[in-house]
Amino acid sequence: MTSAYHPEKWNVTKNLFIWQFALGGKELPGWVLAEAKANQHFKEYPILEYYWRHQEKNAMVKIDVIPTASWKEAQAGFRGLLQEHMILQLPAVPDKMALLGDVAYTGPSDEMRNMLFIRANMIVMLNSIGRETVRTEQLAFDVDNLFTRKQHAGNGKTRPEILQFEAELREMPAGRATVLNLRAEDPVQRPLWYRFTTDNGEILQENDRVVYLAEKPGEGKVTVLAVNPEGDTDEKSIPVKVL
Amino acid sequence: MKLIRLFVKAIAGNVLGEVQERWVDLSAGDSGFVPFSLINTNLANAGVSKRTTEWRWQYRLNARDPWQELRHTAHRIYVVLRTPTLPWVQTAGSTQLPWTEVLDYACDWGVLSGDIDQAATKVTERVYALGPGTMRYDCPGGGATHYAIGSFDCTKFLELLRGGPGNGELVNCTDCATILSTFANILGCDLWQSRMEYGFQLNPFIAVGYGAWYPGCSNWGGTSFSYHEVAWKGACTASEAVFDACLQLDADAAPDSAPHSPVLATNMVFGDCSSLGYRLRLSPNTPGGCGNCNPAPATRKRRALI
Repeated sequence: MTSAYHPEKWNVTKNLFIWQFALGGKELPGWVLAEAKANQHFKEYPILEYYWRHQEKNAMVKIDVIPTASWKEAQAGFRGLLQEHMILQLPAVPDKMALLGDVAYTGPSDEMRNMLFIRANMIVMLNSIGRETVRTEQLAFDVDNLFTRKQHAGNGKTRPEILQFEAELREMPAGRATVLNLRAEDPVQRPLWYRFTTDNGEILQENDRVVYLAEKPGEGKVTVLAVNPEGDTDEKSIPVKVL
Repeated sequence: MKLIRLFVKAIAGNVLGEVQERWVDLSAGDSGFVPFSLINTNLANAGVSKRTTEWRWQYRLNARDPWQELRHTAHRIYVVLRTPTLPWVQTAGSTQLPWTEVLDYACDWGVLSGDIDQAATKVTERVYALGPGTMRYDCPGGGATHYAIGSFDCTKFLELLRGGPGNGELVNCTDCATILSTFANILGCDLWQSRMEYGFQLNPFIAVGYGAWYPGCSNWGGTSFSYHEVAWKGACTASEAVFDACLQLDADAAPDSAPHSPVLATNMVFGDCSSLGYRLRLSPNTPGGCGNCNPAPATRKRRALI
């Protein structure tokens, strides 16, 4: 029944990889992070569960984020999640939301009270769970933008700093993977998450290490952005040569 | 060293009966833990219940002395039918030891049940009766799992029961099967969460939290389930009985057509497509119907609690 969703037609973001993601509480204007927990799981993947309370309405939205090791795992996990719905097939989001995620679905009502999407290696689910039902599409875009848009660097005193970023191999044949070594720190030791991008290949996680997988011959680069809970960032790039 | 003799007497008219008086040696200053025998207990006949027993402790130093008041103590007693079954365990320190708040609800829901089938039936009825008001079937979201996608988020479900947000009011069949079996098993029932699969047409039913008959949800644009999950006995095969707190089926001889006579599936054998068991009441014997609604015992599980 998975084929009903035509996963072969889903978009794919191969050149983006989100690592050690966490919401810090200031990402969604008008909403307050009421609770965060990480003791639930879907199959082998931990679910980061965030409960956001609206500052004015009697509304609450639960945002579940499932980080996986690669875009392939995310797509496989997403197919599994879709099958956890009793409806035979969830509707895709309306055309006006076509830019949300690599692929996105919503409930069969017009309320847009729930949303599921993937972006690169990340699976996200949003559900309105408060007494007052709210639409979730804007929040979905806000979360997706965290993955895809470059955040501001921020104040120099509160910015994280990337101390080391290098590939074990600077030159490699197409199809070959190399480990990316990264060391970064926040000025007050807050947790950081990272956004890796590349213009030639893909990035994924293998055995707790982030690796770059070269795709086609040519010059390219791999960039990492470190993000702290305030949204402040630091960025570094390294060149790669694919033979 | 002076031997202090102490009688302790409990006065109680309750399922625990009476505490038999005994000597306690306090000559060392601290007796440590001392077991007392209960006599005239009524646990075996009490049925599922929760009670608060108050004990009035008295002592005397010599057998001819008058009793002296020592103190009153109050004890919450949960009477269950058997040792709770999985996911509940009896391992010291485990988070899966029976939760008292679950016992509070389960003993209310199954009150005075004398056997496990009766207890599971009552729990089924009470879980279904949580809708509308506390919970309702997730028609808006397409029947997503909100409390039991991996483990059973019993903490959040209890929050919902207390009137908090929990994970919201919407539930699906997986949630209902997990809630039902977990709360029944703490009373000593022995139920699994197990599925029937895959992609089958439905007869009209009344989903939890709703009041109208419909084969599925009227906003779905179809009248099928991809899967369904229930609390299931034994090996979770066609010959075993199910309990379903998610929907009311039609109890009459023609479940695919009106008029309908609502019934909750409680201890109803799953059955086949030729006799009116659970399977044929849920799914009509049409192409894409009952024949696709097959027990999937490989899916049976008891979700751990978080």
